[in-house]
Amino acid sequence: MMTDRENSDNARRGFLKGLGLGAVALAAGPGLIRAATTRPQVLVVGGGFAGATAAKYLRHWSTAVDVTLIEPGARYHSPILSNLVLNGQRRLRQLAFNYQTLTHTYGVRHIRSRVTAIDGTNRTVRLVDGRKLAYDRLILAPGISFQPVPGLNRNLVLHAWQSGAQVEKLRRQIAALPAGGTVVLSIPPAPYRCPPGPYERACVIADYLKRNKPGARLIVLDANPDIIVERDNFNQAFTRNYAGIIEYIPNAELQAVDSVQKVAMTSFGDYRADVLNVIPPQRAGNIIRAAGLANDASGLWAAVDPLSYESTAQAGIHVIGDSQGTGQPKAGHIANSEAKVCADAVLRLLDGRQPYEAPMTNSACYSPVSANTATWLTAVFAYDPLSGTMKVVPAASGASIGASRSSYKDMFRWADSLFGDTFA
Amino acid sequence: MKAKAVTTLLFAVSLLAACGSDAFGDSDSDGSSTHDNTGSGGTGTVAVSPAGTLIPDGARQLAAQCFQCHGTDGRNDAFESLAGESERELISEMHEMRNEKGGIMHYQARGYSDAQIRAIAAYIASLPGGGSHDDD
Repeated sequence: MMTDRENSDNARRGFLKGLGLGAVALAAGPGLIRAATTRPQVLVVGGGFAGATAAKYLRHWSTAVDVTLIEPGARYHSPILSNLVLNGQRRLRQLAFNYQTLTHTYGVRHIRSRVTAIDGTNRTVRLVDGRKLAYDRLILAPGISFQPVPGLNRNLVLHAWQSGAQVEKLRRQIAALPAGGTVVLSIPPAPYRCPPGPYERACVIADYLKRNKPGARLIVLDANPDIIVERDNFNQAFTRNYAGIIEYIPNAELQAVDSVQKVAMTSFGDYRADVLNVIPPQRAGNIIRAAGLANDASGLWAAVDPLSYESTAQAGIHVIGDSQGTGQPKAGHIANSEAKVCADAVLRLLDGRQPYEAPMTNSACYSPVSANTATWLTAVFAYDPLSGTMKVVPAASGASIGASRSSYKDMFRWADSLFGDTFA
Repeated sequence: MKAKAVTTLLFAVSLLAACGSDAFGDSDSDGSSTHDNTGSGGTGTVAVSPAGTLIPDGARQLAAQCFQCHGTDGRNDAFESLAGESERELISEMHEMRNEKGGIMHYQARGYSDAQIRAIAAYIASLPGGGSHDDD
Protein backbone atom coordinates (compact mmCIF):
# COMPACT_ATOMS: atom_id res chain seq x y z
CA MET A 1 0.00 0.00 0.00
CA MET A 2 1.45 3.36 -0.97
CA THR A 3 1.90 5.90 1.77
CA ASP A 4 0.79 9.48 1.39
CA ARG A 5 4.39 10.50 1.02
CA GLU A 6 4.96 7.98 -1.75
CA ASN A 7 1.83 9.17 -3.54
CA SER A 8 2.88 12.78 -3.40
CA ASP A 9 6.44 11.84 -4.34
CA ASN A 10 5.10 10.29 -7.49
CA ALA A 11 2.98 13.31 -8.26
CA ARG A 12 5.91 15.56 -7.67
CA ARG A 13 8.24 13.60 -9.90
CA GLY A 14 5.81 14.11 -12.63
CA PHE A 15 3.63 12.50 -15.09
CA LEU A 16 6.16 10.26 -16.79
CA LYS A 17 7.39 8.67 -13.60
CA GLY A 18 3.85 8.19 -12.41
CA LEU A 19 3.20 6.33 -15.65
CA GLY A 20 6.24 4.16 -15.23
CA LEU A 21 4.95 0.97 -13.67
CA GLY A 22 1.48 1.37 -15.13
CA ALA A 23 3.03 1.54 -18.56
CA VAL A 24 4.60 -1.88 -18.05
CA ALA A 25 1.18 -3.49 -18.03
CA LEU A 26 0.02 -1.64 -21.11
CA ALA A 27 3.13 -1.69 -23.22
CA ALA A 28 3.56 -3.97 -26.18
CA GLY A 29 6.89 -5.47 -25.16
CA PRO A 30 10.16 -5.07 -23.28
CA GLY A 31 11.64 -2.64 -25.81
CA LEU A 32 8.77 -0.22 -25.34
CA ILE A 33 9.00 -0.43 -21.54
CA ARG A 34 12.63 0.67 -21.61
CA ALA A 35 11.94 3.56 -24.00
CA ALA A 36 9.01 4.75 -21.93
CA THR A 37 10.99 5.02 -18.71
CA THR A 38 13.48 7.78 -19.44
CA ARG A 39 14.59 8.09 -15.88
CA PRO A 40 16.84 5.26 -14.72
CA GLN A 41 15.66 3.53 -11.58
CA VAL A 42 18.16 2.45 -8.97
CA LEU A 43 17.00 0.46 -5.97
CA VAL A 44 19.15 0.33 -2.86
CA VAL A 45 18.34 -2.39 -0.34
CA GLY A 46 19.49 -1.73 3.22
CA GLY A 47 19.94 1.65 4.89
CA GLY A 48 23.16 1.16 6.83
CA PHE A 49 26.51 2.79 6.13
CA ALA A 50 26.81 1.22 2.69
CA GLY A 51 23.23 1.60 1.49
CA ALA A 52 22.61 5.10 2.83
CA THR A 53 25.89 6.37 1.37
CA ALA A 54 25.12 4.81 -2.01
CA ALA A 55 21.63 6.31 -2.11
CA LYS A 56 22.90 9.74 -1.10
CA TYR A 57 25.86 9.90 -3.46
CA LEU A 58 23.88 8.61 -6.44
CA ARG A 59 21.53 11.55 -6.02
CA HIS A 60 24.32 13.94 -4.99
CA TRP A 61 26.10 13.26 -8.27
CA SER A 62 23.08 12.94 -10.50
CA THR A 63 19.51 14.11 -10.18
CA ALA A 64 18.72 12.44 -13.51
CA VAL A 65 18.43 9.09 -11.71
CA ASP A 66 15.61 8.00 -9.40
CA VAL A 67 16.84 6.30 -6.27
CA THR A 68 14.66 4.25 -3.96
CA LEU A 69 15.96 3.05 -0.61
CA ILE A 70 14.23 -0.07 0.67
CA GLU A 71 14.86 -0.18 4.39
CA PRO A 72 12.29 -1.32 6.97
CA GLY A 73 13.52 0.93 9.75
CA ALA A 74 12.65 4.59 10.24
CA ARG A 75 16.15 5.02 11.56
CA TYR A 76 19.46 3.26 11.65
CA HIS A 77 21.21 2.40 14.91
CA SER A 78 24.92 2.64 14.39
CA PRO A 79 27.03 -0.26 15.61
CA ILE A 80 29.95 2.19 15.47
CA LEU A 81 30.33 3.61 18.98
CA SER A 82 27.70 1.18 20.28
CA ASN A 83 30.20 -0.43 22.63
CA LEU A 84 30.09 2.87 24.52
CA VAL A 85 26.49 2.09 25.41
CA LEU A 86 27.74 -0.92 27.35
CA ASN A 87 29.71 1.18 29.81
CA GLY A 88 27.13 3.95 29.95
CA GLN A 89 29.07 6.54 27.97
CA ARG A 90 26.58 6.81 25.16
CA ARG A 91 22.85 6.29 24.90
CA LEU A 92 21.40 4.36 22.01
CA ARG A 93 19.38 7.33 20.82
CA GLN A 94 22.57 9.32 20.30
CA LEU A 95 23.55 6.68 17.77
CA ALA A 96 20.27 6.64 15.84
CA PHE A 97 20.09 8.26 12.40
CA ASN A 98 16.99 8.87 10.33
CA TYR A 99 16.67 9.24 6.58
CA GLN A 100 15.19 12.74 6.54
CA THR A 101 18.11 14.39 4.78
CA LEU A 102 18.33 11.62 2.24
CA THR A 103 14.66 11.98 1.40
CA HIS A 104 14.14 15.73 1.80
CA THR A 105 17.43 17.11 0.52
CA TYR A 106 18.57 14.40 -1.86
CA GLY A 107 15.17 13.22 -3.07
CA VAL A 108 15.73 9.57 -2.24
CA ARG A 109 12.44 7.69 -1.98
CA HIS A 110 12.38 5.64 1.21
CA ILE A 111 10.14 2.59 1.22
CA ARG A 112 9.88 1.01 4.64
CA SER A 113 9.71 -2.59 3.58
CA ARG A 114 11.77 -5.67 2.90
CA VAL A 115 12.72 -7.41 -0.31
CA THR A 116 11.62 -11.04 -0.37
CA ALA A 117 12.59 -12.02 -3.90
CA ILE A 118 14.75 -10.77 -6.74
CA ASP A 119 14.22 -11.50 -10.43
CA GLY A 120 17.62 -10.68 -11.88
CA THR A 121 16.60 -11.53 -15.43
CA ASN A 122 13.60 -9.25 -15.58
CA ARG A 123 15.13 -6.76 -13.14
CA THR A 124 12.38 -6.62 -10.57
CA VAL A 125 12.24 -7.12 -6.82
CA ARG A 126 9.27 -8.24 -4.79
CA LEU A 127 8.52 -6.66 -1.44
CA VAL A 128 6.93 -8.26 1.60
CA ASP A 129 3.54 -6.79 0.70
CA GLY A 130 3.69 -8.31 -2.75
CA ARG A 131 4.53 -5.06 -4.55
CA LYS A 132 6.98 -5.41 -7.43
CA LEU A 133 9.49 -2.72 -8.26
CA ALA A 134 11.43 -2.58 -11.51
CA TYR A 135 15.05 -1.48 -11.58
CA ASP A 136 17.80 -0.63 -13.98
CA ARG A 137 20.42 -1.22 -11.30
CA LEU A 138 19.99 -2.91 -7.93
CA ILE A 139 22.38 -2.26 -5.05
CA LEU A 140 22.15 -4.72 -2.18
CA ALA A 141 23.58 -3.67 1.19
CA PRO A 142 21.84 -5.90 3.73
CA GLY A 143 24.79 -6.29 6.09
CA ILE A 144 25.46 -9.53 7.90
CA SER A 145 23.43 -12.45 9.06
CA PHE A 146 24.52 -15.02 11.62
CA GLN A 147 25.47 -18.62 11.05
CA PRO A 148 23.67 -21.00 13.37
CA VAL A 149 25.55 -22.44 16.35
CA PRO A 150 24.16 -25.61 17.96
CA GLY A 151 22.10 -24.62 20.98
CA LEU A 152 22.49 -20.89 20.46
CA ASN A 153 19.27 -18.96 21.00
CA ARG A 154 20.15 -15.42 20.02
CA ASN A 155 17.25 -13.99 22.00
CA LEU A 156 18.61 -15.45 25.23
CA VAL A 157 22.34 -15.23 24.55
CA LEU A 158 22.84 -11.81 23.01
CA HIS A 159 25.24 -10.85 20.24
CA ALA A 160 24.59 -7.08 20.31
CA TRP A 161 26.41 -7.01 16.99
CA GLN A 162 23.75 -5.17 15.03
CA SER A 163 23.28 -2.33 17.57
CA GLY A 164 19.75 -1.46 18.63
CA ALA A 165 17.81 -3.15 21.38
CA GLN A 166 20.33 -5.94 22.00
CA VAL A 167 23.04 -3.45 22.95
CA GLU A 168 20.82 -1.91 25.60
CA LYS A 169 19.86 -5.38 26.88
CA LEU A 170 23.49 -6.43 27.09
CA ARG A 171 24.27 -3.26 29.00
CA ARG A 172 21.59 -4.15 31.53
CA GLN A 173 22.88 -7.72 31.82
CA ILE A 174 26.39 -6.45 32.56
CA ALA A 175 25.08 -3.86 35.01
CA ALA A 176 23.26 -6.63 36.88
CA LEU A 177 26.34 -8.84 37.11
CA PRO A 178 26.91 -10.06 40.66
CA ALA A 179 30.20 -9.02 42.28
CA GLY A 180 32.79 -11.64 41.43
CA GLY A 181 30.66 -12.71 38.46
CA THR A 182 31.93 -13.91 35.10
CA VAL A 183 31.31 -12.45 31.67
CA VAL A 184 32.20 -14.66 28.72
CA LEU A 185 32.69 -13.12 25.28
CA SER A 186 32.96 -15.38 22.24
CA ILE A 187 34.69 -14.02 19.12
CA PRO A 188 33.94 -15.74 15.79
CA PRO A 189 36.47 -16.75 13.15
CA ALA A 190 37.45 -14.02 10.70
CA PRO A 191 36.10 -12.57 8.53
CA TYR A 192 33.44 -10.91 10.62
CA ARG A 193 32.00 -7.42 10.90
CA CYS A 194 34.41 -4.92 12.49
CA PRO A 195 37.77 -6.63 13.07
CA PRO A 196 38.77 -4.62 16.18
CA GLY A 197 35.19 -4.58 17.50
CA PRO A 198 35.23 -7.64 19.78
CA TYR A 199 38.57 -6.69 21.33
CA GLU A 200 37.32 -3.16 21.84
CA ARG A 201 34.20 -4.59 23.50
CA ALA A 202 36.35 -6.72 25.77
CA CYS A 203 38.25 -3.61 26.86
CA VAL A 204 35.14 -1.54 27.45
CA ILE A 205 33.50 -4.30 29.48
CA ALA A 206 36.69 -4.92 31.45
CA ASP A 207 36.97 -1.19 32.17
CA TYR A 208 33.40 -1.22 33.45
CA LEU A 209 34.03 -4.30 35.61
CA LYS A 210 37.24 -2.80 37.00
CA ARG A 211 35.37 0.28 38.16
CA ASN A 212 32.04 -1.23 39.18
CA LYS A 213 32.26 -4.97 39.82
CA PRO A 214 35.15 -5.91 42.11
CA GLY A 215 36.35 -9.45 41.56
CA ALA A 216 34.46 -9.84 38.29
CA ARG A 217 36.21 -11.55 35.39
CA LEU A 218 35.92 -11.48 31.62
CA ILE A 219 36.86 -14.59 29.67
CA VAL A 220 37.52 -13.86 26.00
CA LEU A 221 37.13 -16.97 23.85
CA ASP A 222 38.64 -16.17 20.48
CA ALA A 223 38.09 -18.64 17.62
CA ASN A 224 41.08 -17.02 15.87
CA PRO A 225 44.65 -18.08 16.61
CA ASP A 226 45.55 -14.61 17.90
CA ILE A 227 44.17 -11.08 18.15
CA ILE A 228 43.47 -10.44 14.48
CA VAL A 229 44.09 -6.69 14.38
CA GLU A 230 46.05 -4.10 16.41
CA ARG A 231 47.66 -7.00 18.20
CA ASP A 232 50.07 -4.93 20.26
CA ASN A 233 47.46 -2.38 21.27
CA PHE A 234 44.88 -4.87 22.45
CA ASN A 235 47.39 -7.25 23.96
CA GLN A 236 48.79 -4.38 25.99
CA ALA A 237 45.32 -3.44 27.17
CA PHE A 238 44.45 -7.03 28.07
CA THR A 239 47.67 -7.84 29.91
CA ARG A 240 48.45 -4.50 31.53
CA ASN A 241 45.30 -2.41 31.97
CA TYR A 242 43.08 -5.41 32.62
CA ALA A 243 45.45 -7.95 34.17
CA GLY A 244 43.50 -10.07 36.60
CA ILE A 245 40.23 -9.24 34.86
CA ILE A 246 40.61 -10.45 31.28
CA GLU A 247 41.60 -13.99 30.46
CA TYR A 248 42.25 -14.27 26.71
CA ILE A 249 41.99 -17.74 25.16
CA PRO A 250 42.85 -18.04 21.46
CA ASN A 251 41.91 -20.96 19.18
CA ALA A 252 38.77 -21.42 21.20
CA GLU A 253 36.24 -22.27 18.54
CA LEU A 254 32.66 -22.27 19.78
CA GLN A 255 31.11 -25.69 19.20
CA ALA A 256 27.81 -25.36 21.03
CA VAL A 257 25.97 -23.21 23.54
CA ASP A 258 23.59 -23.93 26.38
CA SER A 259 21.52 -20.80 26.09
CA VAL A 260 19.58 -21.35 29.27
CA GLN A 261 22.49 -22.28 31.54
CA LYS A 262 24.75 -19.79 29.72
CA VAL A 263 27.52 -22.20 28.92
CA ALA A 264 29.89 -21.80 25.98
CA MET A 265 31.25 -25.13 24.81
CA THR A 266 34.57 -24.96 23.01
CA SER A 267 37.38 -27.22 21.93
CA PHE A 268 39.09 -26.33 25.23
CA GLY A 269 36.15 -27.15 27.39
CA ASP A 270 33.01 -25.54 28.75
CA TYR A 271 32.84 -22.01 30.11
CA ARG A 272 29.97 -21.09 32.34
CA ALA A 273 28.96 -17.43 32.44
CA ASP A 274 26.76 -15.08 34.40
CA VAL A 275 26.63 -12.97 31.25
CA LEU A 276 27.32 -14.74 27.98
CA ASN A 277 27.92 -12.60 24.88
CA VAL A 278 28.32 -14.73 21.78
CA ILE A 279 29.23 -12.94 18.57
CA PRO A 280 28.30 -15.71 16.15
CA PRO A 281 30.13 -16.58 12.93
CA GLN A 282 28.79 -14.43 10.13
CA ARG A 283 27.74 -14.51 6.51
CA ALA A 284 26.05 -12.21 4.01
CA GLY A 285 22.61 -10.79 4.74
CA ASN A 286 19.70 -13.14 4.14
CA ILE A 287 18.51 -11.65 0.84
CA ILE A 288 21.96 -12.28 -0.67
CA ARG A 289 21.71 -15.96 0.09
CA ALA A 290 18.05 -16.21 -0.86
CA ALA A 291 18.85 -14.67 -4.24
CA GLY A 292 21.69 -17.10 -4.90
CA LEU A 293 24.33 -14.39 -4.77
CA ALA A 294 26.54 -15.73 -1.95
CA ASN A 295 28.97 -17.19 -4.43
CA ASP A 296 32.43 -16.39 -3.09
CA ALA A 297 34.86 -19.26 -2.40
CA SER A 298 33.50 -19.75 1.11
CA GLY A 299 29.89 -19.59 0.00
CA LEU A 300 29.28 -17.00 2.72
CA TRP A 301 29.63 -13.69 0.90
CA ALA A 302 28.81 -12.19 -2.48
CA ALA A 303 31.63 -12.27 -5.03
CA VAL A 304 31.75 -8.93 -6.86
CA ASP A 305 33.88 -6.95 -9.28
CA PRO A 306 35.68 -4.34 -7.15
CA LEU A 307 35.45 -1.78 -9.96
CA SER A 308 31.69 -1.56 -9.59
CA TYR A 309 30.70 -4.08 -6.91
CA GLU A 310 28.57 -5.80 -9.52
CA SER A 311 27.79 -9.39 -8.57
CA THR A 312 29.69 -12.00 -10.54
CA ALA A 313 26.56 -14.17 -10.31
CA GLN A 314 24.03 -11.74 -11.76
CA ALA A 315 24.48 -8.71 -13.96
CA GLY A 316 22.71 -5.54 -12.89
CA ILE A 317 22.99 -6.35 -9.19
CA HIS A 318 25.66 -4.76 -7.03
CA VAL A 319 26.58 -5.76 -3.48
CA ILE A 320 28.35 -3.40 -1.11
CA GLY A 321 29.25 -3.29 2.58
CA ASP A 322 29.61 -6.27 4.86
CA SER A 323 27.81 -8.65 2.49
CA GLN A 324 30.33 -8.48 -0.32
CA GLY A 325 33.36 -10.71 -0.43
CA THR A 326 36.20 -8.69 -1.93
CA GLY A 327 38.32 -9.36 1.13
CA GLN A 328 38.26 -5.77 2.30
CA PRO A 329 37.55 -5.52 6.04
CA LYS A 330 33.88 -5.42 7.00
CA ALA A 331 33.15 -2.11 8.70
CA GLY A 332 31.03 1.00 8.39
CA HIS A 333 33.77 3.41 7.29
CA ILE A 334 34.94 1.25 4.41
CA ALA A 335 31.34 0.37 3.55
CA ASN A 336 30.76 4.09 2.98
CA SER A 337 33.95 4.12 0.90
CA GLU A 338 32.81 1.17 -1.27
CA ALA A 339 29.40 2.78 -1.72
CA LYS A 340 31.02 5.77 -3.40
CA VAL A 341 32.92 3.59 -5.83
CA CYS A 342 29.68 1.71 -6.54
CA ALA A 343 27.58 4.85 -6.96
CA ASP A 344 30.06 6.35 -9.40
CA ALA A 345 30.25 3.08 -11.33
CA VAL A 346 26.47 2.69 -11.48
CA LEU A 347 26.06 6.21 -12.87
CA ARG A 348 28.68 5.52 -15.50
CA LEU A 349 27.10 2.18 -16.41
CA LEU A 350 23.67 3.81 -16.72
CA ASP A 351 25.31 6.29 -19.06
CA GLY A 352 26.71 3.50 -21.24
CA ARG A 353 30.25 3.94 -19.96
CA GLN A 354 32.59 1.60 -18.13
CA PRO A 355 33.43 1.98 -14.43
CA TYR A 356 36.52 3.93 -13.51
CA GLU A 357 39.47 1.58 -13.77
CA ALA A 358 41.48 2.52 -10.66
CA PRO A 359 39.22 2.86 -7.64
CA MET A 360 40.60 3.47 -4.16
CA THR A 361 38.96 2.75 -0.83
CA ASN A 362 40.09 3.22 2.73
CA SER A 363 39.39 1.95 6.20
CA ALA A 364 39.75 3.82 9.45
CA CYS A 365 38.54 2.92 12.88
CA TYR A 366 39.02 4.27 16.36
CA SER A 367 38.53 1.83 19.25
CA PRO A 368 37.89 2.87 22.84
CA VAL A 369 39.99 0.73 25.16
CA SER A 370 38.96 2.44 28.39
CA ALA A 371 36.63 5.17 29.53
CA ASN A 372 38.96 7.85 28.17
CA THR A 373 41.54 6.36 25.81
CA ALA A 374 41.35 4.92 22.33
CA THR A 375 43.50 3.42 19.60
CA TRP A 376 43.10 3.63 15.86
CA LEU A 377 43.99 1.81 12.68
CA THR A 378 43.78 2.75 9.03
CA ALA A 379 44.56 1.43 5.56
CA VAL A 380 44.31 2.58 1.97
CA PHE A 381 43.30 0.04 -0.68
CA ALA A 382 43.98 0.26 -4.41
CA TYR A 383 42.65 -1.84 -7.25
CA ASP A 384 45.22 -4.32 -8.48
CA PRO A 385 44.41 -5.11 -12.12
CA LEU A 386 46.54 -8.26 -12.18
CA SER A 387 44.58 -10.02 -9.47
CA GLY A 388 41.34 -8.10 -9.93
CA THR A 389 41.25 -7.40 -6.20
CA MET A 390 41.60 -4.49 -3.80
CA LYS A 391 44.99 -4.59 -2.13
CA VAL A 392 46.43 -2.56 0.75
CA VAL A 393 48.82 0.02 -0.67
CA PRO A 394 52.30 -0.79 0.69
CA ALA A 395 53.24 1.48 3.58
CA ALA A 396 49.71 2.93 3.63
CA SER A 397 48.39 1.11 6.64
CA GLY A 398 49.13 1.50 10.29
CA ALA A 399 47.80 1.73 13.79
CA SER A 400 48.32 4.02 16.72
CA ILE A 401 51.18 3.19 19.03
CA GLY A 402 49.17 2.49 22.12
CA ALA A 403 46.03 4.21 23.33
CA SER A 404 45.68 7.90 24.12
CA ARG A 405 43.23 10.51 25.34
CA SER A 406 43.65 12.56 22.18
CA SER A 407 42.69 9.51 20.11
CA TYR A 408 39.64 9.11 22.32
CA LYS A 409 38.58 12.68 21.44
CA ASP A 410 39.39 12.13 17.77
CA MET A 411 37.20 9.05 17.86
CA PHE A 412 34.12 11.21 18.25
CA ARG A 413 35.26 13.57 15.49
CA TRP A 414 35.74 10.60 13.21
CA ALA A 415 32.40 9.03 14.07
CA ASP A 416 30.48 12.32 13.77
CA SER A 417 32.09 13.01 10.40
CA LEU A 418 31.23 9.55 9.14
CA PHE A 419 27.65 9.79 10.41
CA GLY A 420 27.29 13.15 8.68
CA ASP A 421 28.77 12.06 5.38
CA THR A 422 26.48 9.02 5.36
CA PHE A 423 23.15 10.31 6.68
CA ALA A 424 23.24 14.11 6.57
CA MET B 1 -6.42 6.43 -18.99
CA LYS B 2 -7.28 4.70 -22.23
CA ALA B 3 -4.72 2.26 -23.63
CA LYS B 4 -4.54 3.97 -27.00
CA ALA B 5 -3.83 7.40 -25.51
CA VAL B 6 -1.13 5.94 -23.31
CA THR B 7 0.53 4.20 -26.22
CA THR B 8 0.59 7.45 -28.19
CA LEU B 9 2.09 9.27 -25.26
CA LEU B 10 4.70 6.55 -24.74
CA PHE B 11 5.68 6.79 -28.40
CA ALA B 12 6.08 10.55 -28.07
CA VAL B 13 8.17 10.08 -24.96
CA SER B 14 10.44 7.57 -26.64
CA LEU B 15 11.08 10.06 -29.45
CA LEU B 16 12.03 12.67 -26.88
CA ALA B 17 14.35 10.24 -25.16
CA ALA B 18 16.07 9.45 -28.43
CA CYS B 19 16.65 13.16 -29.08
CA GLY B 20 18.09 13.87 -25.64
CA SER B 21 21.76 12.88 -25.71
CA ASP B 22 21.96 13.30 -22.00
CA ALA B 23 19.00 11.30 -20.70
CA PHE B 24 21.22 9.35 -18.35
CA GLY B 25 23.81 12.06 -18.00
CA ASP B 26 25.19 13.61 -14.91
CA SER B 27 23.82 17.12 -15.21
CA ASP B 28 20.92 18.32 -13.16
CA SER B 29 17.51 17.67 -14.63
CA ASP B 30 16.97 21.38 -15.12
CA GLY B 31 19.82 21.29 -17.62
CA SER B 32 22.22 23.47 -15.68
CA SER B 33 25.79 22.38 -15.38
CA THR B 34 26.94 21.84 -11.82
CA HIS B 35 29.90 20.25 -10.17
CA ASP B 36 28.16 16.95 -10.94
CA ASN B 37 29.94 17.03 -14.26
CA THR B 38 33.45 17.40 -12.99
CA GLY B 39 35.69 14.40 -12.90
CA SER B 40 33.08 12.16 -14.40
CA GLY B 41 33.74 12.83 -18.08
CA GLY B 42 29.92 12.71 -18.02
CA THR B 43 28.67 13.95 -21.30
CA GLY B 44 32.02 14.51 -22.97
CA THR B 45 32.60 17.87 -21.31
CA VAL B 46 36.09 18.50 -20.02
CA ALA B 47 36.16 20.05 -16.56
CA VAL B 48 38.89 22.23 -15.12
CA SER B 49 39.63 23.48 -11.64
CA PRO B 50 39.75 27.21 -10.77
CA ALA B 51 43.52 27.05 -11.28
CA GLY B 52 42.99 25.65 -14.75
CA THR B 53 44.02 22.06 -14.02
CA LEU B 54 42.23 19.47 -16.08
CA ILE B 55 40.14 17.33 -13.77
CA PRO B 56 40.84 13.79 -14.85
CA ASP B 57 38.43 10.90 -15.12
CA GLY B 58 37.69 9.29 -11.76
CA ALA B 59 38.58 12.38 -9.71
CA ARG B 60 35.15 12.62 -8.15
CA GLN B 61 35.17 9.14 -6.66
CA LEU B 62 38.80 9.49 -5.55
CA ALA B 63 38.05 12.79 -3.80
CA ALA B 64 34.94 11.31 -2.21
CA GLN B 65 37.20 8.90 -0.33
CA CYS B 66 38.28 11.86 1.80
CA PHE B 67 34.76 12.72 2.82
CA GLN B 68 34.24 9.96 5.43
CA CYS B 69 36.37 12.10 7.74
CA HIS B 70 36.34 15.50 6.08
CA GLY B 71 32.64 15.70 5.34
CA THR B 72 30.67 15.53 2.14
CA ASP B 73 32.42 17.65 -0.47
CA GLY B 74 35.02 18.47 2.15
CA ARG B 75 32.72 20.56 4.33
CA ASN B 76 33.19 19.59 7.92
CA ASP B 77 33.15 20.77 11.53
CA ALA B 78 35.16 17.95 13.03
CA PHE B 79 38.40 17.33 11.19
CA GLU B 80 39.82 19.97 8.90
CA SER B 81 37.43 21.24 6.26
CA LEU B 82 38.87 20.79 2.79
CA ALA B 83 36.27 22.92 1.05
CA GLY B 84 37.60 26.38 0.31
CA GLU B 85 41.24 25.34 0.34
CA SER B 86 43.14 26.04 -2.83
CA GLU B 87 44.41 23.27 -5.04
CA ARG B 88 47.97 24.17 -4.13
CA GLU B 89 47.23 24.09 -0.40
CA LEU B 90 45.59 20.68 -0.66
CA ILE B 91 48.50 19.21 -2.62
CA SER B 92 51.12 20.68 -0.33
CA GLU B 93 49.33 19.44 2.81
CA MET B 94 49.10 15.91 1.44
CA HIS B 95 52.83 15.94 0.65
CA GLU B 96 53.62 17.27 4.11
CA MET B 97 51.60 14.55 5.81
CA ARG B 98 53.23 11.88 3.70
CA ASN B 99 56.60 12.89 5.07
CA GLU B 100 55.70 13.54 8.69
CA LYS B 101 55.40 10.54 10.91
CA GLY B 102 52.36 9.59 12.94
CA GLY B 103 48.64 10.00 12.60
CA ILE B 104 46.02 8.51 10.38
CA MET B 105 46.66 11.11 7.65
CA HIS B 106 50.27 10.05 7.37
CA TYR B 107 49.16 6.59 6.24
CA GLN B 108 46.32 7.95 4.15
CA ALA B 109 48.62 10.35 2.32
CA ARG B 110 51.02 7.51 1.57
CA GLY B 111 48.22 5.64 -0.15
CA TYR B 112 48.01 8.01 -3.10
CA SER B 113 50.32 8.82 -6.00
CA ASP B 114 51.22 12.39 -6.95
CA ALA B 115 48.85 12.19 -9.90
CA GLN B 116 46.00 11.02 -7.68
CA ILE B 117 46.68 13.79 -5.19
CA ARG B 118 46.59 16.36 -8.00
CA ALA B 119 43.33 14.92 -9.28
CA ILE B 120 41.71 14.97 -5.85
CA ALA B 121 42.92 18.51 -5.15
CA ALA B 122 41.67 19.75 -8.52
CA TYR B 123 38.26 18.21 -7.94
CA ILE B 124 37.83 19.53 -4.40
CA ALA B 125 38.98 23.00 -5.44
CA SER B 126 36.42 22.95 -8.24
CA LEU B 127 33.46 22.30 -5.95
CA PRO B 128 31.04 25.17 -5.31
CA GLY B 129 32.68 27.45 -2.77
CA GLY B 130 35.99 25.77 -3.42
CA GLY B 131 39.39 27.06 -4.45
CA SER B 132 40.85 30.40 -3.48
CA HIS B 133 42.85 33.34 -4.76
CA ASP B 134 45.97 31.34 -3.91
CA ASP B 135 45.59 29.57 -7.22
CA ASP B 136 46.35 32.73 -9.26
